[in-house]
Amino acid sequence: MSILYFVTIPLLASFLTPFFKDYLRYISVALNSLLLVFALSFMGDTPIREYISFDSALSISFVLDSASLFFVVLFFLIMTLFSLYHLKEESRKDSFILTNMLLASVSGLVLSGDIFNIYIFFEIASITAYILTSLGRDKKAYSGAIRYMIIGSFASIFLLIAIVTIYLNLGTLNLLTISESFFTISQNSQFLIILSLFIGFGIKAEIFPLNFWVVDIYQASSNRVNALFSAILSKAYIFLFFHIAYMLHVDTKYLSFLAVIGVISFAVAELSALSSKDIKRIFAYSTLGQIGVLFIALSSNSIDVISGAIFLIAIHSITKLMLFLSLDILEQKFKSTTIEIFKNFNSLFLVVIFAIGFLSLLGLPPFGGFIAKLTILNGLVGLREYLFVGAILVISLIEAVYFFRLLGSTRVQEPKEDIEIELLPKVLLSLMAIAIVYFGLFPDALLDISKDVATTLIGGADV
Amino acid sequence: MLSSFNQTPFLHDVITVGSLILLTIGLVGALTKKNLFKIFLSLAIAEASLFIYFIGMHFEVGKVAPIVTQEVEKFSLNMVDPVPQAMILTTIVIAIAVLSLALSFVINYFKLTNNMRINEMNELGEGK
Amino acid sequence: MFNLSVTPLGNLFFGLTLIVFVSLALVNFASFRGSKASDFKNNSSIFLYTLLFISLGVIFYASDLITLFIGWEVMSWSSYFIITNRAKLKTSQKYILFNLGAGFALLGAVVLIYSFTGTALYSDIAFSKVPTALHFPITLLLLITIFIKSGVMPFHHWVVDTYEEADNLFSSVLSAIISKAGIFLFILMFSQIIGYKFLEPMIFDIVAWLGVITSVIATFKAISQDSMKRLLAYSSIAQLGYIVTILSIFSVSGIEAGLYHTLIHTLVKLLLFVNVASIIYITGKNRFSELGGLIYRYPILFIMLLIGIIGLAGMPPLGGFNSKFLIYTTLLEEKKALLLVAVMFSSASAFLYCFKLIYGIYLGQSTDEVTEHKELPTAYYIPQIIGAVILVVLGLLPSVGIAIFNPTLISLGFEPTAYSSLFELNGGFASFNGGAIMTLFILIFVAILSIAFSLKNKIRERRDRFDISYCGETPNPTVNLHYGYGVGEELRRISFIGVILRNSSKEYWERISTIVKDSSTLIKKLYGLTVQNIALLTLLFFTILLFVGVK
Repeated sequence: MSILYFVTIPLLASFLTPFFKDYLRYISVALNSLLLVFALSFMGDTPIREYISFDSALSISFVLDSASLFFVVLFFLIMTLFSLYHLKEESRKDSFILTNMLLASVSGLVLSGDIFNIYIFFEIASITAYILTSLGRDKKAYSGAIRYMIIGSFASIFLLIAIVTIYLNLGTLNLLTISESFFTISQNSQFLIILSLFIGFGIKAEIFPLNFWVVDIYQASSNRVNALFSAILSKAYIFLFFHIAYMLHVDTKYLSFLAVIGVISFAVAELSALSSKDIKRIFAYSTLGQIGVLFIALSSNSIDVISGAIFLIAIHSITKLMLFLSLDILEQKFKSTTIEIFKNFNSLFLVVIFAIGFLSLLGLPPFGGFIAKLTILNGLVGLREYLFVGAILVISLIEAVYFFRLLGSTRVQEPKEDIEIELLPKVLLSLMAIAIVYFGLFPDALLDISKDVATTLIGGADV
Repeated sequence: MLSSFNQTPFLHDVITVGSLILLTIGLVGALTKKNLFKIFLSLAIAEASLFIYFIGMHFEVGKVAPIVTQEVEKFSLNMVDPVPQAMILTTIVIAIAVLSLALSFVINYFKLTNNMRINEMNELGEGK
Repeated sequence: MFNLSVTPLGNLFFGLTLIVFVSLALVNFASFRGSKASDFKNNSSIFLYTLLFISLGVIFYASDLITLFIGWEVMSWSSYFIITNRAKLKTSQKYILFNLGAGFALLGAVVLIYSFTGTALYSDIAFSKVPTALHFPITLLLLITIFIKSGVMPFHHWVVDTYEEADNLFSSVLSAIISKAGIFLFILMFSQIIGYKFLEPMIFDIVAWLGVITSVIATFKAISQDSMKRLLAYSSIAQLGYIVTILSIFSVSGIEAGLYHTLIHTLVKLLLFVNVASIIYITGKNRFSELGGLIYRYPILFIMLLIGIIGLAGMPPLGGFNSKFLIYTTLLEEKKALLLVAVMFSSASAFLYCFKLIYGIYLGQSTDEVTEHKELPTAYYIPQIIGAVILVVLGLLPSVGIAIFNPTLISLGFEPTAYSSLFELNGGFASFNGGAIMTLFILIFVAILSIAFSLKNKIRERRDRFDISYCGETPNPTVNLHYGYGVGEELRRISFIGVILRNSSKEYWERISTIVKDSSTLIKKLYGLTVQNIALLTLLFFTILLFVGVK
């Protein structure tokens, strides 16, 4: 029962693809749900450390603490829902391989205990993301993939610079050792490392001013891929960013800098969404905005605020999965994703799904997003960060403009086409919507888990 | 006289300067070239500069490569640190994979649009 | 986290909610199959109405701040979905943005109070724990919420268009009960939770004046409206202005007067909006210029509107006079002479739009534009009768209201008001006997009615409806003199009122909207950069930070 199964089993399954050509979708569901259950079985046992090697000084370590477990569970949950959604469609080899690779690499990112392993999984995840973007096989998809690769290569270069500097100064790759002896190296080297990590991880974690590439990529990819990007990939990189930051014991000036960047990110993203006419891009901007809020919360170094951030991560992943899958239904019907399509469809079910999703993103009760926002705001006031509280409230109002514009256009009196939705997607979308409402009304269990994760995240080195 | 050049700090400085030049060439190329192949080529050069820097900085005069052969049967302190070499080998492999992926994208894109210049790639953006 | 408890204040407001919702539910269900007569077009409307009702219950019965906020926001978005049924996109955007602004301001205040006092439960909050530096921001945030919700100027921009474009019956819900959420918040927060000793009196002097100025401006705007629902919308703003003003007088008589006016206004607006909805349903017209002379076909509706008008204008012998009386006596007691003058000015001018309402629809001669006369479902009379009956009862027995409010006053920590008999209303300075006044008015009414009937044939002659005697001037044929039609244009010739009528807060809000939109288009360009530019920016960022950090 090794924690490495999270990485190896999906990879193994990808290699066995040619043998199960027609049953891939069932295998997908079975695999993901089994691994989810497997992950949940670890719940009381953390932290767990595993080593692969012969000589302990040069070993590769994997660490499962409550923070990594939370993310592993989240990723497998999202992927289970995703593969269930595709149960009635044809099995496709490419999406099977790619989703498994994504799972393996993202689990590796989260579980890895030394920095070079992180680099390897980082690259695997990037490659998977590039190919996922290009799945549409049309001009847009390849154009997006090429752009993504150029920016991604920059991220890799900066990450490599950081790793090189770390090894040159400390002679070790193990995260625990690095975090214990980080303060021994010169100030300039420390600064170079932290800056390179900021740029390298920041490009992938999609924070201002490194996220100008994101919206085009979302436009290039199909909606289902966007759901995976939004729900799984960006969350993994955000966790990585802050996990490393707290392990390296960065100083408070850097954390305040991150919070300011978070506010600017939120403001810029929501303002840009206001005048956007393509719903895919609007959802991308919304994701960037929420990432901004997450940065504000995660950089506060306080358990209360960070638990709100973890809660928000869980709710946001489910919400974006739901929204992108619903948008996919609309796109298949109308072949376009401009905001006009919201005026032309007639489906009470979809309107309710979109309403629940948007209201939760805005942080309105009684949905999960409200609890997350309330916890974060409460915590921030406790830290006397009034400006951030005010900024979040004002910018949420701007967010309300475009979300309610979309909801209002569904009620406009224009000729509407009916939309038929299959039973399985309906059931899954309802399940996600019910989950959002459930966590809004009964948040305590998830809040306790979030507090646990937050404590581990900040505690950092003593895990 | 040549032996004065055979000192570790001097060699490290040469490596540093050399990699910085290569890195600059690579990054400038990635930022200014318009042909897609040339951009990826420049990125490969930039990554190569980092590989050279890393390996070069661990080289010390008088030490040998960390290869266990029939004569030298186990790791001795006379060998250069093997970890960076292992790391860079892995990284080179990854870089090759990424580069070939990039080339395949470029080829497929060219087949669809007959365009190899990055400033004429305008399929994405607001209102498309 | 979700705490409810039954309190007298909650009972009072929820009682009003019950009256409004139950009577309207009867109207909507009775005409459900009858298409346009009902607001309940399908199951989702029923669901939204129920959700709105529950959220109002949550607001009024909440016993902690978070529950209050949850109810508040659910009220905002459920009413939004009901409004979008008929309203234009721009109007519903205005509605939700202003109301969410109010909601977020409330959230800011709640989070501040919660964080410093450590608890959100009303009973446990000790406002003394909040540092003095934060008293003003919290008060300001709460005032913003209340102003937006109650339509105090200049935050009233959303009210008129929303009332006009929403479903006809739902406008009565908006005006009668949703607008009272702000009033409830005022009393709850300032009287109960925060307490007067922590509030700066100067701020509330300004608030009182803002309320009165709102009333004056809104009254004159109401008079000049041609659309029936817009007139009622402005009238609602004006009446809520009175309530905000009188509640800012931090005394027990102020709160009593405010509560009484809330009660009266809810019933009056329920009556008036349903009446107007009836007329719109019957004739299909919603402008005064197209209506007139309907008293002959619909005398019962006329009488209902008449009772409503008497209540709205605050005339004896009906209940509306009680609240006006209490307002005036309170202002006299507190020696707020200028406020009293302003309120009286606004109140007197209100007669003009009250009369316009009844004249433009029912009196005068009938018009040619009205071609269809649909059959009105009898259920439409229910809310009107309820409103009318309660107004009459309160007129006869004014201290019934005092008896209703006493438990609330006790729960807020004040002394209950004593009253000698239900017929008599004591306002401190003066008192009057409702029964005596009602008898007097009935006698006078009967007397005048009999005189009018006896002279019926002698004093009537046929004229064109636009031919009205005009004193002093000779109007040319293009000047429109019908009272229900041309009042607004003539009022513009009076300089003071003309200034009010010509200006509007619309440009300022539109300007804010344009600024936001333009900055959005500008900032969006960042996300349209080419890849190489993005990479260049990243490198620049790296280099700049490198030079900043490396010493």
